[in-house]
Amino acid sequence: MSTATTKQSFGLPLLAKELTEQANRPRTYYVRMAYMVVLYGSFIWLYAGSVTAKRSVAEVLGSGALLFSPIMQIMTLAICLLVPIYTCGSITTEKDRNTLEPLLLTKLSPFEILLEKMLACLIPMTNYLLMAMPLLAVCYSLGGVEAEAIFTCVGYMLLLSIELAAWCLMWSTICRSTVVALIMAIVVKLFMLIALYLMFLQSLRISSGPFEQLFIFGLSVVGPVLLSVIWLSIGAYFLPRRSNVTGPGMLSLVFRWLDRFFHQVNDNPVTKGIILVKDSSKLPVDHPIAWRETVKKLWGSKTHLTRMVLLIETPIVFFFTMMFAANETATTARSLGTITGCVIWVLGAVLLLVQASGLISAERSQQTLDLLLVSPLSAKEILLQKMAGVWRLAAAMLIPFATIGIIQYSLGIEFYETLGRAVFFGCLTLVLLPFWVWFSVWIGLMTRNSLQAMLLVFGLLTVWQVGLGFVAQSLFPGASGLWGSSSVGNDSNIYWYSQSPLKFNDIGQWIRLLLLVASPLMIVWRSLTTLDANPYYCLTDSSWVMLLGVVPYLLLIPVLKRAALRRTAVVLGRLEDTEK
Amino acid sequence: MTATTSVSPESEATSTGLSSTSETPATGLATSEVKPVVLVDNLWVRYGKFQAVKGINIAIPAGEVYGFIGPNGAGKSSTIKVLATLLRGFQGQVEVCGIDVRRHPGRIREIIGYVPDFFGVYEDLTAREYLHFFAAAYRIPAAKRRDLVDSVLELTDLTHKIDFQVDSLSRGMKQRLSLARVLLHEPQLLLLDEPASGLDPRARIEFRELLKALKEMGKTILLSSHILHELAQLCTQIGIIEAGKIVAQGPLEAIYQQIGMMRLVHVQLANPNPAIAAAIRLLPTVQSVEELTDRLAIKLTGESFPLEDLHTALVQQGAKIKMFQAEVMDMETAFMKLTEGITA
Repeated sequence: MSTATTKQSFGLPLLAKELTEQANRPRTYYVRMAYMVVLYGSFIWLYAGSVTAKRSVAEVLGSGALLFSPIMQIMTLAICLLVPIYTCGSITTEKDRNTLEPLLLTKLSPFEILLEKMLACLIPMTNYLLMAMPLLAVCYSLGGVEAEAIFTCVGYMLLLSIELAAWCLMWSTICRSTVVALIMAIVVKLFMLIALYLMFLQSLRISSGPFEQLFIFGLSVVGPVLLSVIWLSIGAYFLPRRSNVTGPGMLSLVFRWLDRFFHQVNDNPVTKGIILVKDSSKLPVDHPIAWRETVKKLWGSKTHLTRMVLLIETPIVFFFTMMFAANETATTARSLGTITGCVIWVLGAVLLLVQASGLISAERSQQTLDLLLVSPLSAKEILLQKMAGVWRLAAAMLIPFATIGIIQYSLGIEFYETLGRAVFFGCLTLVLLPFWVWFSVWIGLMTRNSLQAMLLVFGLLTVWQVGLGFVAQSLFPGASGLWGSSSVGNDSNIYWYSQSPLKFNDIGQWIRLLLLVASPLMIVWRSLTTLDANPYYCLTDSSWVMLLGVVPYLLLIPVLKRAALRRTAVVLGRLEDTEK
Repeated sequence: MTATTSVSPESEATSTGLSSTSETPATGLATSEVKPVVLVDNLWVRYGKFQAVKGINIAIPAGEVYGFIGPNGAGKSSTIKVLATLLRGFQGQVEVCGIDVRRHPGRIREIIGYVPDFFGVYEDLTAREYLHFFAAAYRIPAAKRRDLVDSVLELTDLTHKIDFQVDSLSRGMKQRLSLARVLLHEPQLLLLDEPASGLDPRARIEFRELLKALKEMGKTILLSSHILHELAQLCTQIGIIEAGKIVAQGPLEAIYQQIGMMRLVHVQLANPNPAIAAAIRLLPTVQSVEELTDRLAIKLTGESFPLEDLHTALVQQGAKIKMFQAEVMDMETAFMKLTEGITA
């Protein structure tokens, strides 16, 4: 009896529950298996490329360093991907199940709850680190890597896991849904890292003195731990306060606050409260779902989209104006334009894919899907009307690209190059993006909740659109690294395809070509880098490669759309008139 | 099973602008005298390996209120979902107003109103927008919508909440708004899955009164509920389902009779005497008289024998009556007697 009491008082009940749940979930083993396949597969591949090719034992010695670095990169990537997935849903799931409030009524303090939740994430992550130990041992035995380096790297990864888990848990306590928590955790973290890099790390020079080394080491160990405590404390503060969040979401509240702020600012003798863009206050007429998506939704209404575009446009115009004032060259404008365009495109694409993948699952989670399904609207109508908001968001995305193009042209970039860039971004936005959107919708129809849909969409698109390019690159003789050289050289895929005619008897060439077409992001990246190196490139040599990469997707859009629309009725589960 | 002839109260229909089922066949399907509004014949529903519904038969004539009772997982919601065209994998014949659910689900959707066991919230809409949204979804002509929305809000007593956010309404109001939603297209059949669940007593009573008004308007209603005594007050027919099978169904009186509840009378005498019990046994409508330690338990067979006649007969036999009590009609007791507590 006393032993039981002792165990109970010192036990970690929440951790025990979490681990039991994890053990009972088949997903745990699938993820572990997938990680294992990727890690060991990559190692074998790298080993075959770097070690097996060596002729003598003497050449093999020291090649551990070649293997160690990519393995560490894969492990870091796995941590950055898996920790947010594991932790962002920790508290939001409890909120969804209405189990958080009973948990807060127990003797567990908010901090303890978060700590146990964090441990529940760190234990599988430690597992993943341990899984890599045999590989690290091989690296060590091959030479070129010191034991200290291995332990330091593993230690840093553990610290990275702790800090990232605490950070994601904090967002999980603040946000209402897992999807929002995940997006906020990743986006804010990225912004923080970029700001940190630009402000401090870029100018930081590590000196070789013992004191400085010790300081850096201390900072890199104490820093993550200290940050973890801060994130957990913030989380603990918000946990009871955000345990039962109803009403509008955080983003809606921010927009409402902005509404009030702008109204106050606008109410002055100069502007006299003028309203440039006003959302329709009319009630739905023929397409009720499309009406709600484009009038009532945050990412569909004219007012909010205008604000979002203005938010993106303002810094673009500001930076380019500064450049104009500083008499910057066209080359700088070109580079900045490419980078800005890419960043906006990626952020916009992420937003669109999140929206598209959650179209139906959002109705499911709101418990409104059945209400739509019992109406006379066909499944096809429901889906097409739901897409109205997504297309409006996509259209809004085109505006910043147009701005960048106009400014670049005005900064001295030639007309044909500007046109080439416009065609390029147009192809991406009008062809590749709609394809991805329909793909996301299709995946969203298959999944039960928004998080699952989002993870599947991003996972599959990464493997498909980037992974295949990776394989194509590796198959290409003379390729240097993942993306190859940015210059138009003999090792460039695009150069190769554009300069040398396709040999129909070379199966390997066909395979490489197919893989490249299946991985348009590779073409995008190569084209962008070559665009900067040779402004006329996009309109001359590589244009057919670009088309080759985009045309199949253009042809596939109606096929995928049709498949998604036909699939809708089946996936939604209701009877349709066509059935016998 | 007798069809209840219901006449819609003119005042109610006129004041709300809503027409009764018998007056307006929404899709040109007049309520048939012969065909029941709901016909479920040998319905089987399976989820993977689990058989949720096992060959049930239901027939609900026009204007009836059919109460579907059963424990959780008994198959009530599955049956309702089949009728609402929301389930594909089922076997058996299911018809609403003579239309085959499997063959013409689109036509079915136009003549039914379905309230699920949860309230789907569009938190960004007001009550007015919510109703206009569904009016547009049901393709009600735009010119008619405003009056229609006003009338359903008036019927459900939500006019004062027309511009409130749906999310800000209480649960009871949300449930009434749900009912307003399904009344927009004037359906012939209302399918209500646990409509009173989670409501406070006042909201429950208000909701019950609303259903009574709809009943009087001639709507055919199929509702499932756990609140048994409320069903007893409202329903003209009851179906008790357990583990996917109907264990009893029909008018409430018939069910009570079936389990011998209504006609059990407890009599306590100041002068207990076996002769009195013997004399009572000889009465034509008395099935049995059980002599308990402190009372007689008299079970009657016929419906027509009034209890006051039994009282008179006892007095005529010289009985000095201390207590005369007919067992209360109790749905809960009936439910407990008919079901065995088998769950999914």
